[in-house]
Amino acid sequence: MYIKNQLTVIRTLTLAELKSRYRNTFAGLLWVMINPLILFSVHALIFKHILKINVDKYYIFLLSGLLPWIFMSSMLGQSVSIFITKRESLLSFQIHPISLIISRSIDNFINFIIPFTFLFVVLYSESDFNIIGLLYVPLLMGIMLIGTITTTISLAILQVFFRDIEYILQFVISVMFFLTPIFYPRHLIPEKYQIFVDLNPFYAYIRGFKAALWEFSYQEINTAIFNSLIFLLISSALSFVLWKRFRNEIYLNI
Amino acid sequence: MKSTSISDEVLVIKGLSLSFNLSLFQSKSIRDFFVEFMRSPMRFFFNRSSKLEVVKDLNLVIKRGERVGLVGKNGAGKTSLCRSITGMYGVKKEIQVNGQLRAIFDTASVVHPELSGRENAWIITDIIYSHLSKKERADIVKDSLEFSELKEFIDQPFKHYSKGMKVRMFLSIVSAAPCDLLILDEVFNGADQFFNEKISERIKNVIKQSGAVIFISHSEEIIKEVCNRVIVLGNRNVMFDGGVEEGMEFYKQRYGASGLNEVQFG
Repeated sequence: MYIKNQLTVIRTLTLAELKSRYRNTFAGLLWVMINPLILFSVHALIFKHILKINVDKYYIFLLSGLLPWIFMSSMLGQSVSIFITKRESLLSFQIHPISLIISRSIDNFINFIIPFTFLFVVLYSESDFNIIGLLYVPLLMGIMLIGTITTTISLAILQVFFRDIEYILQFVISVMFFLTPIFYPRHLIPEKYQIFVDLNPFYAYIRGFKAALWEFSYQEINTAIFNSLIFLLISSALSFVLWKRFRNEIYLNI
Repeated sequence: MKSTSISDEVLVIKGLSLSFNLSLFQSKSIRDFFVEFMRSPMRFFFNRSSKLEVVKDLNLVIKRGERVGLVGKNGAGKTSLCRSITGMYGVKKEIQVNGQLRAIFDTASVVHPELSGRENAWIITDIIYSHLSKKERADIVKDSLEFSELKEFIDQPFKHYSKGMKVRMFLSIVSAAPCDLLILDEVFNGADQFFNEKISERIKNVIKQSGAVIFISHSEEIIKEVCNRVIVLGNRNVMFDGGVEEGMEFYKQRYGASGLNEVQFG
């Protein structure tokens, strides 16, 4: 009964987030598309046409990394303070704090899916693609979604007690954008440094998308899924431990 | 002597203890944490286990028909106890609630300030009455919006509402339907005088219709009017449990009348 009620709460909060974002209009939907479209265009212009990075099917390569990156970074950035910004709701109603994060992540995920589908349909109509790679996409999305939710839970709990986490996170995200092979391929990194890239949780989730959509190979995609599952396991365990340890104190500190 | 069966017990608490880690209040940023560590590493690792015990080994049974006034000094643990009952804190096995529970801890809460009053009314109703069907929830929204008399403001963004308007809408929704155990924490703060009279009648009705009620208030007048049992909380446990007159007398003898205010009820 409690879980059923919380599912209703999650659905309600998700619809509220979506309603607030799209305002029930087509213009709202277009507005959501503009951000990734501009980012994509700027990156494509700089790296393909100015710096002339020599990567085959560069638009697909860039999109398969950029869109998951936008989802993860915006989800983390928007939700790290969610327990504090939504303190009134948490202290007034029987809303499970994690319901807030799940509803926000579903909203962001839908926001990710729409440009992802639209842009890939347009781009794939003009190039060859591997249908088997496409079949891996739902699995990769699921792993990324759960990994982002569990990481957000950990950071949101820590933010309640250490109020500078969000500033540190902003800094880390801006640095990680350049350290993650999103707009350049992994093989351009000297071999002795590639281990650091493999330890990058953002890349663990992005790598699968690149393997599935850009240059498909079973070995690459299996490695990517294995690595992302390891990060998923670590972030799940960490969020579980932090939640068990601090769940009561969250209410006193928000 | 009138006998009561177990099915009359709406709430059963057996041996509830609740404590908070005080050390978590000391560090407010990673920088503070780092400075604290660098200043004295030994103290940092070995002196961080102070605990704030809110309640200890508390036992309580509330039966159908009881309207319990929960009183105590600020910081006595009234709200924490009620939050435990709702399951907000990680103590579940000591607490048994038989039936549908509804708890309200604030009267001017807003879920989405960007959305309109009507949209927020739907959200609040979906959250509070998540166990009801969509048709029943729609009826609650319709009835509450009419009762709140917000009229032309109802489709304005909620962020433009005054505190009084938020309270109007919120209390109208909260008091729309009874439940098995209703927890109301200082619900009469913030409503304007005219609406306070109107809403108080509605809340009194929902209190009468509900199976049992826990009512937190600092107003002696309200407690005397609403409740038929008083529990005084203090020293991490129940200090008094009995009749309303005796309970309020006990409280005043113990703490004086300073903790009781003059909020008017209806």
